[in-house]
Amino acid sequence: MIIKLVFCFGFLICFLYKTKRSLHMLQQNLYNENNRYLKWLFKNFSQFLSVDLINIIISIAGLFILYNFPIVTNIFVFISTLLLVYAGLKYKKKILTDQNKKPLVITARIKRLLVTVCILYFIPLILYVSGYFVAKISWLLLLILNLLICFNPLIVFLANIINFPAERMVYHFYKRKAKKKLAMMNNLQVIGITGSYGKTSSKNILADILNIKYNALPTPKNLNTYYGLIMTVNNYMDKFTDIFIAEMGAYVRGEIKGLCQLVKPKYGILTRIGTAHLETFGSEENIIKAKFELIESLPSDGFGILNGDDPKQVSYHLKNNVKTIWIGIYNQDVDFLATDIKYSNQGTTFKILFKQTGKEQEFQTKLLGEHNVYNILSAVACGYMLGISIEDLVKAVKTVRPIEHRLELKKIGNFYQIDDAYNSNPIGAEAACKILGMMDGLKVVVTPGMIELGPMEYELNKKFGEQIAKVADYAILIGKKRTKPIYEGLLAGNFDKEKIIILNDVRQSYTFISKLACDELVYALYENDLPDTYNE
Amino acid sequence: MKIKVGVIFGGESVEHEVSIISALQAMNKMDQEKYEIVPIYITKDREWYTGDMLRDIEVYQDLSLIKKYAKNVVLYYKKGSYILQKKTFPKYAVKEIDIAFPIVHGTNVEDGVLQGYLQSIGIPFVGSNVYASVVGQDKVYMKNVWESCGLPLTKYVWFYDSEYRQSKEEVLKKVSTLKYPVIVKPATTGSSVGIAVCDDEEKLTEAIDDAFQYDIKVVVEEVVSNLKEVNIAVMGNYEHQKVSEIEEVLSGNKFLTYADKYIGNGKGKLKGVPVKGTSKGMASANRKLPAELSDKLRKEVEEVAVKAFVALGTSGNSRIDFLIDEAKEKVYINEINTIPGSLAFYLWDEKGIDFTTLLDEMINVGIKDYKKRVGKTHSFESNILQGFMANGGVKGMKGMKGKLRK
Repeated sequence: MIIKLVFCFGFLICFLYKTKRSLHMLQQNLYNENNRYLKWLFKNFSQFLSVDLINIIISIAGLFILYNFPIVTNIFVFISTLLLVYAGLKYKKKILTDQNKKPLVITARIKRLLVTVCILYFIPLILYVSGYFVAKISWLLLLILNLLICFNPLIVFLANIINFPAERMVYHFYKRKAKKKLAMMNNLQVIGITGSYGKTSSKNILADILNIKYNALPTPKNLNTYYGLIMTVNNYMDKFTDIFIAEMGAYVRGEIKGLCQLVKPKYGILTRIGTAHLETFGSEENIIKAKFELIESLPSDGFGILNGDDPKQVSYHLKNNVKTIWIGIYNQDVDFLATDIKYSNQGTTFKILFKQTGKEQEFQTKLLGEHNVYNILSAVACGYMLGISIEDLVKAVKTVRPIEHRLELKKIGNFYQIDDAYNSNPIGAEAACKILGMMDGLKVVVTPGMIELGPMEYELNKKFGEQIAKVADYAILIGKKRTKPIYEGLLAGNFDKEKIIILNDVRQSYTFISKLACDELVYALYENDLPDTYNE
Repeated sequence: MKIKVGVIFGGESVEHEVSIISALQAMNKMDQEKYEIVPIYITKDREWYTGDMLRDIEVYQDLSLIKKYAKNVVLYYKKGSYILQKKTFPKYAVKEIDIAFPIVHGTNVEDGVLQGYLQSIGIPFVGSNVYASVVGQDKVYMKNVWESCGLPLTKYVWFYDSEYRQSKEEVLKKVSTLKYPVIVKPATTGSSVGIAVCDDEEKLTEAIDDAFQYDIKVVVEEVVSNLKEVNIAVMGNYEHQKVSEIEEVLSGNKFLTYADKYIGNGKGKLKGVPVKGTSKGMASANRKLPAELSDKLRKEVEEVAVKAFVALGTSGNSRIDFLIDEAKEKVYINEINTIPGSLAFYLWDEKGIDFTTLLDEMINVGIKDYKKRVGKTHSFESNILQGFMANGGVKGMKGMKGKLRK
């Protein structure tokens, strides 16, 4: 009996940490939307080949051979317990390194999952501990328990499937609630924002600018899914909200159309169309069509703001008659044209030509980079169309806040960090490199490379390496295997091998850079922060 | 779903009647499509009433009508909403409001007292918060803050009645650092009561004695010669501000003394003799709009007004009064009205902002202030980089790792 309780203790430790990690990964992989969790499991199949297997072998041995020898049974159960505790502590450590970047959020859904998982585990456990069975059945239960613990990620997945019908009901409840609330807000105007990248920046900048006159509510953080919009409407929108800025993300076609049916935007902004999530979309054409679902969902008395410098947008034939407003820097034939862009350590200044009136006005912002000029251009165009005076727009642009982890310039210890850690794509990375190049001082790039770029992933990362080679003095690569293409790109760009540092954890880079500090100012560009699932 | 705006007016104040007029004007002009207006009248004995009849000026001629037909209520917070609940049996919720709009003047209401109540129960409200309202009412606090910001003020001294009683000489000595003529004002009285201009010490003591009837604190200021009085309104909050047209306040009669000019519009209190009305200046006051000012002075008034507005942390729509020495082309800031009479709408008309838009914008600022107050941020949750910052940058790294291992 005592040995059973000891085993129970070890089992619980292992169960706790393994389940926490599995739930975390399930959450990161959007609860297996588009089979993301299964793909992750498949990629990381090696995690099943651990000490747990020894436990299973012990259990099988027990079941067929050892059940006649009670003392030997006790010894082996004890060994099994020790192995479980060992495995549990190993996972605890793993969780600590993982969870820093994007920790597990204990949502109601996670709680419900946990209940299901607990039921699955505790039935055999209680039977084992409390039951007075013949030795053979005890060993069988032990085998089941060890199998359960070994294949914990699969059990969590099973719980996800079991909970699925209940989750649908919860989902529909909140969906109805959101729809009802939206229908009651008769003063509300909705602006949809989509694009392959720059959505979140564009959304926040737009909110900052519109807020000089309106009470705009942008979707918080980077919530851009159907569920995210429902949550925003239910939890964040209040009576005073007069403009709702909905960021719309998509992994497959039709998703944005669905989002539009939910929130019914009157105005739409398309940032830039690139190759992000090419893997899930299938083709570039699909990406373009998917993004234009927003513009094609707009009513005829609304307007869509499009980027005149994006050939994929210029060449697209709209299937509805919504008014289009074009912005641009290079294409002269646009409604809002930015000219005379000048960068400095303090930020960016530029002029906007308002085609409609022929008026030209200078703007100034703390934000860095050409892509932010685009973001501000679309926000200014939108604000202008919604009746904000140019005078107020100038003021608003001046007060736009830099967005965290998106080319955010800040001082850390003795060096300047250009924090571009949030999600990365080739164009953003190139722009970030360009900006780093304009800084006067010692330049460092810290990056683990880019993912989800489709068949071009290797090439694009290599190109990124070449771009780094052009501007940086040091390159710090996170993860040796992942960053191989960048490494090759750096070498192709004649970058000094001695100045390429390969680390396993982004946190180690801080210590390294702080030691670099000399008379010159040190600027460190932190490009792309990957979700934990790609660590291995 | 209309936004329910509770317009609060009246109150235990000498400017009770002016407040009723200001509030009725505003309620008539508020956008009825967007807002549902809930009038909330505070009687002079501090009872709160609500009811649509309160939007009619006639009912105020007979208070018994209000007591009989309007609902005597109390505003409080209940289960996520702000409710006007009937005070007497049966105690049901008469109305619910989303935002309060105080249109009150003078002590006990405009001076932060009402704002404190609103903020205590947590309701969003239009206009300045407690701090700005307090400082904006007390002429001494106001001057202290502006002085420390380097804004132009006339020379002044102030003292309590206790100081004056204990050693009159000391106080008069303090005053003698000023050049005559001087003007004596009670520090916090909202309207122009107890204000007098003095040419010599004899008149000064008389005026001080009089002023202490109204307040425990008195300010004595130097009088500006070649005086031109102008007013300007500033709207916004500490982040964004815009300025209205500038008006010039004309004295009713050229032969009136300085006192009349200060009291303004021939109303107020002339050397201790109470005169009906106040200096709150209704739209009918004697004024020139826009004021005749050189571009340089105009710009200076606008700039100083914005600075003064921001210095006090004022919010909403305030009127700031200036004194200009025309000969020397010098601008002095006189005082601020955090809730001006008629909400100074006539100053905004000239800038193309009509009363309806003005009210809409004021409510908007109120909502923004509220959102700031409850700290609704829409930024990212912390991740590793922020954790790093919070632990004191590079130096903190070791500490953080230690924490993680725990």
